[in-house]
Formats: sequence, structure tokens, C-alpha cells
Amino acid sequence: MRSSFRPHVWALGATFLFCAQPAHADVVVLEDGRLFDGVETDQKDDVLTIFFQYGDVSLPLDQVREVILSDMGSFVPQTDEERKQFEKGLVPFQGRWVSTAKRDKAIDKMLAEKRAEVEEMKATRLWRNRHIEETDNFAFEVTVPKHVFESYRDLCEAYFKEFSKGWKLRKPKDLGKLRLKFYIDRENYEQVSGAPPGALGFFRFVRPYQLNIYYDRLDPLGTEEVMYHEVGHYLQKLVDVEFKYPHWPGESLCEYYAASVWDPKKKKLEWGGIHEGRLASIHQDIERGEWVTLEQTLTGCQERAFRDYTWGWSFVHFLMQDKTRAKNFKKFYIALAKARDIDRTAQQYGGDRLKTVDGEAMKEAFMKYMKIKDDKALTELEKEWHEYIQEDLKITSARGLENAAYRALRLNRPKRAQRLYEEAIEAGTELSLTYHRYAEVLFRDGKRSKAYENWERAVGLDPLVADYYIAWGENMLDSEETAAEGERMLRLALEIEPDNYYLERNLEAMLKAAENRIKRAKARLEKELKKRAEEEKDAEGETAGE
Amino acid sequence: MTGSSFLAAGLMALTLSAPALSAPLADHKDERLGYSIRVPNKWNEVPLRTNEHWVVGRWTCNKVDRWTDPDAGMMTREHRSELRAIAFIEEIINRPDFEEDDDEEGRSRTKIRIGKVYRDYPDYLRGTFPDGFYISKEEPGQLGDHNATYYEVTIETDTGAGERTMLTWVVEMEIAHVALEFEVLDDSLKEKLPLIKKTFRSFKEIPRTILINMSDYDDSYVSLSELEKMKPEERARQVRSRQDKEWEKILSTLPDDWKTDEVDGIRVVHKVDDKYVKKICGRINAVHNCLEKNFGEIGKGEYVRKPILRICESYEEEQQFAEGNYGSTRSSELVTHKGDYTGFEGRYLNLETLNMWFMDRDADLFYGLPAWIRNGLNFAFGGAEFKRGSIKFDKKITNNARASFRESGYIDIGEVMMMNSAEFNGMAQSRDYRAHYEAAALVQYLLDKPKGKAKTLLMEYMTNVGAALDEIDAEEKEARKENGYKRPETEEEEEKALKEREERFKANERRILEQAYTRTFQPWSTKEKESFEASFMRGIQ
Repeated sequence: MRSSFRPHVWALGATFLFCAQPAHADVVVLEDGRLFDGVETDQKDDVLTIFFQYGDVSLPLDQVREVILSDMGSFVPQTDEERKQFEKGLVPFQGRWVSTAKRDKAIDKMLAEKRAEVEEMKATRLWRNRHIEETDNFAFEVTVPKHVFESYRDLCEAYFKEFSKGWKLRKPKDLGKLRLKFYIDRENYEQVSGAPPGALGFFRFVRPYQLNIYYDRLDPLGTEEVMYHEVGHYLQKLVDVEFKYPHWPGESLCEYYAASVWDPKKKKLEWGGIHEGRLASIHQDIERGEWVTLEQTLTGCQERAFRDYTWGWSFVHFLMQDKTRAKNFKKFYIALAKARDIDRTAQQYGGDRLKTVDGEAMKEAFMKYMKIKDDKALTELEKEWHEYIQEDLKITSARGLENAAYRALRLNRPKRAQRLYEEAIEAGTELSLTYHRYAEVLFRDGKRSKAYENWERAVGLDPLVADYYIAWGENMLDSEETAAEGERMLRLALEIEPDNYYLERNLEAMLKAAENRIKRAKARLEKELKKRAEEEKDAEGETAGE
Repeated sequence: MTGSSFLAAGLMALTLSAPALSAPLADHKDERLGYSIRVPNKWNEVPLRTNEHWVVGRWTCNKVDRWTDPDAGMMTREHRSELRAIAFIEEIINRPDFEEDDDEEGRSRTKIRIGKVYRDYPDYLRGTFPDGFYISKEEPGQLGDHNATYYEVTIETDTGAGERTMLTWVVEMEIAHVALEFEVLDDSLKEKLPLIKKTFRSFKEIPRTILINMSDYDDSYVSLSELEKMKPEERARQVRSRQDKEWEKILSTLPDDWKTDEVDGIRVVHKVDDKYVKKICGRINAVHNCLEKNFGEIGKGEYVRKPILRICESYEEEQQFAEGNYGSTRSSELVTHKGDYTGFEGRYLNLETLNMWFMDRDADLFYGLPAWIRNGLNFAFGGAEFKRGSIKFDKKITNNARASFRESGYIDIGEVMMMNSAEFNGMAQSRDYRAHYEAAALVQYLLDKPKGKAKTLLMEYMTNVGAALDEIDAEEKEARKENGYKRPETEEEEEKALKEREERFKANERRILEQAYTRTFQPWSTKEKESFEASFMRGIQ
């Protein structure tokens, strides 16, 4: 802790505790669950500063959950009243005057408790020490910090209850609680769950049911979306555990719920939002002239099943926004698993034999339950759905625009991505990742200073992300004017993330290579200038000769 | 008592108590790293792959363990316990991913090391272990006189591969940390524990008498484009030298019970009888001869590799050796096993030989071949059998085309030859396989029993494809030279550029098809063409 004395143990949302420790021994716990142990800090107003060797990092207090300070400094009385009390051997503590010994004892006790909590938090990051907690419908196994997990836990229960109520479903007696594994980050999730590459989460749809997801602290909304989607698969088991919903409408309905909004304070869930990431993908298809038909959707004959997450979602959204259609769609959905008049096939998956409905039977059932008379009426419905996509579904939120920008980047459209990132920023995004990605695309497009501005904003929003400093710093190395600052940033990144193996191995080589590049560029420039000077001299000589 | 708890009681006390156990062990010495262990007797040594940089020794148990999977309908599955030695050489794990130096003329060049580097044992597991796992125990300790860390790794059954545990000591040695890792099915752990303990206890330091060649740890290679720039002789030297290095590496890690041989120019390591080796080499040479006979003019003068052949005793042995992804266009090693010589394995050997031959002769042409001919070559060579010293094409291919003709009619063969990849593959996606069957039958017909001008049709067609590719390449280079590259400044320009690129690609594909077809059939009279088509159609009608 730096020198300034703080009269309050509790400050704003963050907790500050003092202890007598050597310098550089403060502990900072962030709201997103990250933890910095053994750092030197200072707090002024609403900002906490962490002092690293290669730079001071300031972060708003609302990102800080807790700070355990190594040294409280000494109390210096400022007023007559304070001086009087101080002479009596009393100091202020938690709004009261107490003896130094009493205060120290209380602090030691609180500190020991907090230290124990921090140690537990560190330990539970390892899967072998995971936190296990059961609620009414879930058996959670988690490595995310408890304070982060609590909101997701409540969300899962609320989702379960709202879904059962909305669909008038009762939990089958033998369904048990869903084992939900919630990992601290993607690396741990992939390692422990053995997830297939590219899967952001997965539900094991045969017994014993199990769900694996991870916490993406840079994109908590994305974490929620994945959770809604995967839990959605489990909730489909409430209809019939022996039934496996076909890709459409199974995945599409999960996507419908993935666009839900959770209010953690009111503990209220609202569904039916526009999944703007998926909508961006639909727009891309439309631009290429690739419209998905109802026939393809219903019979599962699409070229790419991925479109059940995009077009399929939009079709479910289209049906669910109309009261009558929503009622019929729900009936159809339940009937797929239960009605006697629908042909089903069965297949063995692991230890479970599951029924499902294939293409033509699906179309037939859909038409029957949705009260669609013939193919002509189906074509009419398709027309209406396509119009709905064009007229009613719009990308307006920052999140939708960010998703669209990221998608444009992946489709090799950097100019479009820049425009969409700009719009996302105008729409008020607060996602640091957006500024970072925008900076990257700007830099690649040769807009160096604008890129730096956006990295600065990314770092301003989330000042402790090593990757931002690495990207920014690496790009600064190529210019003599900014190389020193680039090096500082890379070294700071290594302080923020000391176990960054890439940086640990490559930092010195990167700096050396950059230095050589600058030297060579300078040599080339000098050579060129010399050549030009000689040419000018020759030209002057010739003129003089004339 | 669970697996973990009795392990906790047993393995950490290794250095304190060492009761004599009767299981016999065999010596394994690593004089590069400076250690020896006594491997369980009769466990089979698994040869190391040439692209392996981390595992320095592998042995599998001679007996299979079985377990019943309650989550898969009580299905009985098998597992073979395995011992692996993995080395984390300090110099390798600390060096950067790239190295910059100057060439002979003082120009900077950057050598990029492609292979993934692992910091330590947990990092290695994260990067390489195919199933879900977690480290259930990690404790410092001692193995012999060395500081070491003991790990227990739990592999849970919900990954589908059985509840297993890995027991590992990572020993801190002079130049490396060496991990000794046993992977055992939980059900068999108790039974195998004495043997595991005994193996761990046998770890000893020995003098390092062989130098480690750090360049073995580089994945850098001469790329196809670099090879293309070379003269044929230099290119041949490069390819030969790489193949020789591969051979040396194979020999340097070959277990004692493997044999080496060279049959008709093919280098072989194997664990099978000589007759079988001869048969496989005969097949590869027959494919080579067939390719030379039919396409000898392509890339004439280019050096063509014959594969380095590894023949395993069984499918299981091959799986153990080549688990995960193994093999690349750069590697010359072809791994097979004794057994299914005529079916899938025969197809694989034929096609790998075909790929290698074309890649060495003219990679650009091979990649640029129209869909119909590429598909036809795969079908024809994939289904070919080796009989009496040569390749015999499979009648099934003509039969398939015949059945398809009877069921759904046919597409004019000229039309098939003019289909671009989207049209050709699009048909199969809509479950219409007529073009596929006809293309396969045509290529086979042209390879097998062509008459008159058709005898050289394939060769001429390919030459014309090559010429069209060269012309397009030259024109594009020229255009780039003239116009330079203009980066799109606006979204509209970006969209336009992408569209143009897409259209150019389609136009080039169409041009190759048209040019190759027109030029090939130009010298043919209408009557000759009709007679050729009729002769081919008769075969499938």
C-alpha cells in the first residue's frame, strides 16, 4: 500500500482491509473473479491504482470487489477532537473510537478470515478443489469464484421455473438434478470436459445428463447466452426424457431462449429478445442471395445444419411473437415427443434408446398442428416469415452490432467491420473486447493512431487484460518513436499475467527483432537520402557546368 | 478404498519403503538424457513417430484390461495400460518461437519454429491429451536422489473412454525434466500398482554419452513455394535429404523387435514376414508403374519419392503408433499393418502412393485438376487391386455407373467433363451420384482399356489443364505487375473486390475446363469423338 491513510475500512462497493505486512503485499480481488496477490496499491476517490514495475494501472472501484491492504499507515489526527482522542490512546475504527490494541485485534481477526477466503478462492480454481452446491434442480460443480457463480446459479433456477411454467411442464420424477459443470475459463473447460474443438458449451443428452460451460469474463453476456442455450436442451428433457428433439426445432428453440435477458437484482427473466448475432449471420446469407426455405427447415434438408441456429431461430421467433401461432407451435413442439399420430424413429445413443422425428413426418406434423392446409399455405407462411426477417428484425443494440462486426471480420470484410464497430461504439458498447478488436482491424488497415486510441479505450474499460497490452505493445515496437512505450507495455503485460508462456519465451527475441528492423529501416533511409543527395549534387554540377 | 486414496498411501512413500516385488523388469537406457528405468517385462515398446518431439519412450502392456461401461448399455470396452517417458529439455522449453539471423548477404531472415512448445508436464497434458482430465494430486517429493513432483491425473468416465488414472513422477534432471507416466484403467490400478512402483523405483541417473541434436526439435521445413523456385536437381536434393533424415530418425528410435529392409527401392521397417513385405512393396511399385505408364510426361525429370513403409503387426499396433493425427504431404512415411490387405488398407496404400507421386511431379497441377478427373482418379486407384505384379481396376466402378444409368439415366459425358466443382459436388449433395459414377467409370475406362486416340486422352487432358493453369498464372502475375495491388478504400470497394475475386475464381475454373476440353478434343474428328463416347457408353449400358 502506498502512504495515504484511509479512515474507513469499508469504501464504496469494495471492501478494504488493513494488515501489517511488508510492502507489495496487498491483495486485490476483482468483481469478475480475478485476483492479484502481492501488489502495491493506492486508492483515491473512485479509483484504485495498482503499482507495477512497468506502469501504474488505475481501475474504477466498481470493478473491485475487495482489497486487502498490507499496511494501514499511521493515524495522524487532524482536528482538536481527534488530537484529544489520540492523546487518550484511541484511534478511529469502523465509526467508533477504540484502543489501538482493540483495533489491531479486530483487524487481525478480519484479516485472517479474508485471507482464508482468498486462499479458498485461489484453491477452488483447480478442478480437484471445485465448489459443489445443489439447488432445487441443479447440482453445480464450479471453479468460478463464489460471488460470480451466485448470479448464474439464480439464473439457472429462474430459467428452469419460468420455462416449466410457460410450457406447463412437470419435471419427471426420475430426471434428478442436472449436473452442471461451470469452469473458470475456456482453457480449464476444454481440459477437464474434453470438449470438442469450437464447442462453447455442451449438454450430454444421454444419461447421466451433464452440462459443461465456462465463464468468459471478457464477455459475460456471451456466457449467459451459452448457458441459456445449453440449459435449454436439458429443459427439453422435461417434455420426454426418451425423446431427442431434431436439430430443428431443438437447436432453434434453444437459441430463442439464448436471447433472454436476466435482471439479477429483480431475479427476473425476460425472453424473446432478438438474437442479433444470429440475425447478422442471416443478413450475410441474404446478401449472398441464399434464402433458406421452410421446406429445407422443416425437412432438415439444409445444406448446412448451422442454419438451424440462425434461420431456424428466426422462424421460431416469428412464430412465438404471435399469440395464436405461439400457442399452436407449443402444441406442435410437445406433440413431436408425445402425440400418437406422429411417426417416430428410434436410435441407440450410449445407454439410451431415444425416439425422434424425421424430415417428412416433421413437415406433416408441423402443418397439422399449425393448421396449415396445404403447400400453398406453407409458401404463404414462408413469405410472411421472410418479410418478418426483413421488416421486423433489426440489429440496433451495441451487442448485435459487435457481433455483426466480428462476423464481417471473419468473412474478410475489414472495412465493413470498421463501420459496424464504429456503430457499436456509438450505440454505447461497454465491452472492452470490442475496442480491442476494432483497434486490431484499424491497425491492420494502416490507421495506427486511431488504433492506439481504441486500445487506450479498451485498456480504460478493462485495465488488467494482458492481451490488450501485448497487441498494442507489439504494434508499437516497429516505430522508433513508440518502441520504448511498446516494450514497457509488453513488460507490463508480463507483470499482469506472469504465467504468459508466449511472452515469457519470446519477449526478448521480439524486442531484439524489432530493434533490428528499426536499425535496418534507418540504414535504408540513410542510404536513400545519401543517394538522393548525390543525385542532387550531380544535377547541380551539371547545371553549373552548363 | 478409491483409486486415489490407496495411491496416496502408496506412491508418495516410494523413497522410504521399498519392499521386494517379484515382477521382472527389462532395462531401458536413455543416454541422451542420462537416465535408465526398468520397464515391466514383456511390455511392448512402441516406436516413436518421426514428428514426435516430447515423448522419448513408450511401452504398452502385453495384456488387455476390460471394463464395463454402465453409461453405454453395459458395453465391454478394452484398454491397454501404457508407460510413457516424456522429456522437457530446458533449452527447448525456454527458446523463443522464432530466431532472427542474417544470411550470407547480410539480409535479415527469420526462422520460425512451428511446433508447439510445452512449459511443463501439466502444460503438455493440456496440449496433447485427447480426453478430458484434471490433476487430482500434485505433490513435491523425491525419486531416487532427485527432486521430483508426483502427479495423479484423473480421467473421468463421462469423456467416454473409461475411468482411468495417470500416475506420474516428473524428475528434475541436469538438462531436462523427465516425466514417467503410467496410464491405467481404474479397475486394474490395484493389481498393477506393485509393478508401477517397482518401475518408478528403478529410475537411475546414468552418464550422458549421446549429444542431443537441438535441430531435431525444429519443425521448420522447405515450403512448396520455396521448392518450386528451385531447379529440379536442387529440388530433388532437398526432397532426398529430407527423406534420408526421416529414415535416420526412424532407425534411431526403432525398437529391437522391428526389422529393416529395402525392397525394390522402398525402405521398410516392419514386424511381419518377408513375404508380406514383398507383397506390399509390390503393390506400391505397381501403382508407381501404372502412374508412370499413364502420366509419365507430367513433370518429367522431377524426382519422385517412393514412400518409407512402416508395416505394423496388427491394426491395434498401428493405432498405438499413429494415434491422433499423423502424416502430412511433407512426410514420406506410410504406415500400414498386416491384415486387411485388399479392402480399406489397399485403397489407402494406393491413394497415398498416388498423392505422393503427383505431389512430387507437379503439385500445382494436382491441386488444379477438375473435380471429375480428381474424383475419377480416387475411385479408380482407390478400388484397384494388386494381382500378378500389376494393378487391376475394380469392375465395381463400371457396375455402379451401370446401375446408376439404369435407375436414373445418364448425363452426357462431355457435360460431366465440363462441370465445375460446385456443380459436380452439388449433385452428390443432393444425393444424385450419376456424375460421380460416370466420371469414375470414364477415368477407369481411359486407364484400363482405351482404344485409338483415347489411349493418350488422360495424359493430353492433364497437359492441357497444366497449360491453362500456367497461362492464368502468367496473366495474373502480369496484371499484378501492371496494376499493382490497390487496397479497398471503402466498403463498396471491398465488396466489389471480394465479388470480383469470387467471380475470377469461377471464371478461371470455367476457363480451365473449357480450354482443357477443347484443346484435348481439337484433333479429334466428330466421328472419332462419337465413337469414343459410344464405346464408353456401351461399357456402362
